[in-house]
Amino acid sequence: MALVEPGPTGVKTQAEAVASVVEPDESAAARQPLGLVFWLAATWIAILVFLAVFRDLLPLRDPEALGIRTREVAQNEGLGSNAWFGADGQGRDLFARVVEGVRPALILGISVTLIAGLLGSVIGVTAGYLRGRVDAVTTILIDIALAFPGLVLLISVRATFGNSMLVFITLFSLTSIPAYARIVRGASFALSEREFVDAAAAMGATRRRILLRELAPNIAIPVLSFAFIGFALVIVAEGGLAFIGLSLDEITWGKLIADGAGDIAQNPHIALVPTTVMFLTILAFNLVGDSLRQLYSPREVATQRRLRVGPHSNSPEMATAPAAASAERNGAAGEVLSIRDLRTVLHTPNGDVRAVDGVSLSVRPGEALGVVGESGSGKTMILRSIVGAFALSDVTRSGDVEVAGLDMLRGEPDDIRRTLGTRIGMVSQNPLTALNPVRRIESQITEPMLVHSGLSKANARSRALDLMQQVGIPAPEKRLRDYPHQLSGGMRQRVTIAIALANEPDLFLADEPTTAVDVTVQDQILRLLSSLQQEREMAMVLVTHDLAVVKGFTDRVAIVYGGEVIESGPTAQIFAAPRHRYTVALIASMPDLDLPSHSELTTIEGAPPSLIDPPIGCRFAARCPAAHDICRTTSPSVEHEGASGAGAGDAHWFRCHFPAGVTADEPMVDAAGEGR
Amino acid sequence: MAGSGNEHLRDEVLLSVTDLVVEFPAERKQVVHAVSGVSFDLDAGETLGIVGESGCGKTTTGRAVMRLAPVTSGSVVLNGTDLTSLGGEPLRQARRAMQMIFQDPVSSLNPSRRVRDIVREGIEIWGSPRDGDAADDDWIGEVLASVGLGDEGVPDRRPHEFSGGQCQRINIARALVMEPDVLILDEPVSALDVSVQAQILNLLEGLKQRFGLTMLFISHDLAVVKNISDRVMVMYLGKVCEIAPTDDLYARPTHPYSRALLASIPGHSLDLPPAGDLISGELPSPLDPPSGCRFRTRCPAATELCASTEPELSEVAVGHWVACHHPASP
Repeated sequence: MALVEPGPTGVKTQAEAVASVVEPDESAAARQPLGLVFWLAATWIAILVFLAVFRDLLPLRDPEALGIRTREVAQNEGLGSNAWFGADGQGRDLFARVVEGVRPALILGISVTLIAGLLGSVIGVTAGYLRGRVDAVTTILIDIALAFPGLVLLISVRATFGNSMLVFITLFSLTSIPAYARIVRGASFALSEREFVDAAAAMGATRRRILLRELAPNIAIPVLSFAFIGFALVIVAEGGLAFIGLSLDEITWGKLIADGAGDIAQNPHIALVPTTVMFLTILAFNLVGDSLRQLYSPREVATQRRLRVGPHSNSPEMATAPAAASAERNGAAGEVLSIRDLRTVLHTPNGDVRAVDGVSLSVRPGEALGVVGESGSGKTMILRSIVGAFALSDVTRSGDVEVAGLDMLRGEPDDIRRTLGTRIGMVSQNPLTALNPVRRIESQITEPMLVHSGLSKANARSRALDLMQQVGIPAPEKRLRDYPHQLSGGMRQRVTIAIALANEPDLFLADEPTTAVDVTVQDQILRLLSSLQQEREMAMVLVTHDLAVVKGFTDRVAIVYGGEVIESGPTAQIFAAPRHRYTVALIASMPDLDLPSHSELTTIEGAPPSLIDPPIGCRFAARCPAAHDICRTTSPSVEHEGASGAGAGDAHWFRCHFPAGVTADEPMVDAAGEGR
Repeated sequence: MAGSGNEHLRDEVLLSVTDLVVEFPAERKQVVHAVSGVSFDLDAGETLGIVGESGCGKTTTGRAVMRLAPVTSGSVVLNGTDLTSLGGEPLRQARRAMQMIFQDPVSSLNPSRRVRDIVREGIEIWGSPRDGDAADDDWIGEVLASVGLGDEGVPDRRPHEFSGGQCQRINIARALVMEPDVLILDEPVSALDVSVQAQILNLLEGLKQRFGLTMLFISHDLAVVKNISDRVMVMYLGKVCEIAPTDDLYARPTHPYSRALLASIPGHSLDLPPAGDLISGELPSPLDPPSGCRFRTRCPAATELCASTEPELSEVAVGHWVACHHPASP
């Protein structure tokens, strides 16, 4: 139900935020290939099907005919057995008997899977979609059915109806239905909360139509995946029952294993051959089922988390990077954070993503730097590259990142950890996922103090109270005892800020700190951050997609596009006179409160460049209204606005061949007459 | 604030919502007061923006008009038909004239279907007023082209092959194919980047001119709402605070909550005190909303009157209605 309104803006989890960088080009998110193992398993299943269908046409011995030399006899006579797998204890051809067992196995497995799968799906979809009382009753029935001892049922029914295939199919189906129903119910329950189901209802689709058109196709793959595993379970169950003497009239693998088990010491092959065949079959069905499930959730491919650090950068671009001008060690220029020519590459199955590509930035105490860009621009990856926190990718960082004089890429791990704990405070977008739901606020605030500052528990507690007051949490004593879920979104974000401030950091990193909160709360939190930052002379990096936030709360701003900083300088100056064509377009696409309603907005046509294979030349050229030929061939170098030289790190600079307000807005007609 | 009252409703409108109440049952026999007596109307060809923060009831209002949320009481009259009196098949038929666009453009599209089938869905369900499949195909092609998806390959592709902005265009096309009288948009650009957001806003503006669209535009983003709306309604905790022509509201916000909202916009240049002076405390629980004016617990101007008596909407300027005992002078 719509008890909770969707929060403002698309709130992304950290994993999604990374994913959006990992997959800058949506079409690049190709399906994973199924792999060799899948095809081997599928081949095995195909062979079984072939044997079952064409068994009567194959030149096989009668499985009941005697007269094959058993191994014992063969040994005595000094001859080999005249059958591939030898004979069983009574001299019958084991190969023919195993092949004979294929058909009952498949008939039983397929019938049970189809019947139970279909009936279970119907029950599951109905319960999951209709919900309410129908769902409650169905769930209880499923639970009871799952607890019912199927073996007892089988034994009692068999006494009356015998061992025919029909009896087994019926009994196995009845006992499998609840498992299917449960899986399908879960899947449809989740799916029916998706907006496309709402959209279909809003469109006026009938329930039947929603079930068939919207839910069924999306449930098909998980059900199919489970069907293969369910098939394997049926074969296992038959084997187990045969072992205790409950089996079909036909020759089955289970019977063969049970037959051979008595003679396992003398003639192990009699049990081993059907066991191996059964094992391979079960394995094959399980493998196919698992592969199908991966197909259903293609993002389940988790690469191992690995961090690599490249060599010191000595690329020629570094010389032109503005921060290089103030590149003295240890923040001699007073910098808390200094980044020079940072390059971060994410190694993904689709290729190497150059998420951060030659970025140089610096921040001084008491200064707030805004890093602004659209999704997939790499802005969040800049922040993650500073602290070395990457969710799931194999990552290489190169260039230089220094925090308070410490080399964050090549320093001793202990030093880096200490710097992270004591010099850097970090706040991320979603305050709910940033807090541990099962721990009280108090233990979460005091933890960094106990670990890094060695405060006593009592001191840490009184300091926690102080912090809670500073971030504007009313009744802090009571709140310390609360769990995160007892606090509103705004209060939670204040708590994460308090935690980040616990060790009096020199550098405060904020990644979309107010994207998940309402506008009045955003105002409070940004004012709070701003005043804390000024009081404590903290350096702050504020990463956001929101230009209004940058405009209102930062001293300097860096605009990120395609993994590069394309323009940087004092915030007021950039908003008053942006030079890079992308900055100009970005600012103009923002709805302006000072303009009357229905004012037309500037748009940027096209899509951002792929970071796997970024274009040569200016990365914005393909979308730029003022692009010339040179923009598509030559990467623009850094141009400084006004007086260059002194304090170049703070100055307004940009990378554009034809900056706005300096060159004409319309592209000159290229001699070649080449259009875009 | 948090006013009731229907004096602001006009005659001869396309859609008229009167005293809409939506309540949800909660644990221990409590009730969530999601929407508590909201009235507004929509003239043909008009765009009404609804703004407010989480929990103000704006989304529930939109869903209740669509009858996707249960209406506890009140009426929703579209083209002279009271939808709240309908159920079952007649409701399904009547609802055809309203279409909705949701916040998450990707999740609103069935991932296993092609664009052609998604956009055609309405016709499949309802049949077509046109003659034959070819005429339908022409119409679908025209609608796809009008939302900027006229390229040849588009109908055969599936949602995952499109960006978020393009998916929202598909959603808009799906709704437009039905030639709806009213289009309800719930945070349609909140999940999009600012440059893509601008494309969709411009597109909606163009479609409004071209097809004479009537829109109910729900958003938390005050700048977006200002850009798209003819009139704006501000909601707080299930009630209407203020409803006025857009430029009038943004130039002269009169309700204390509207003023707090506008003052909270980062980097704004409006003539308002800091937001911290206009609003304090936290949103009360919708399980137990304050008596009288629901904003009084956070309002610097609140008096005893505000606790005892609920303010009704009254007109402070032409078409500018405010539910407040102590409005700021406009």
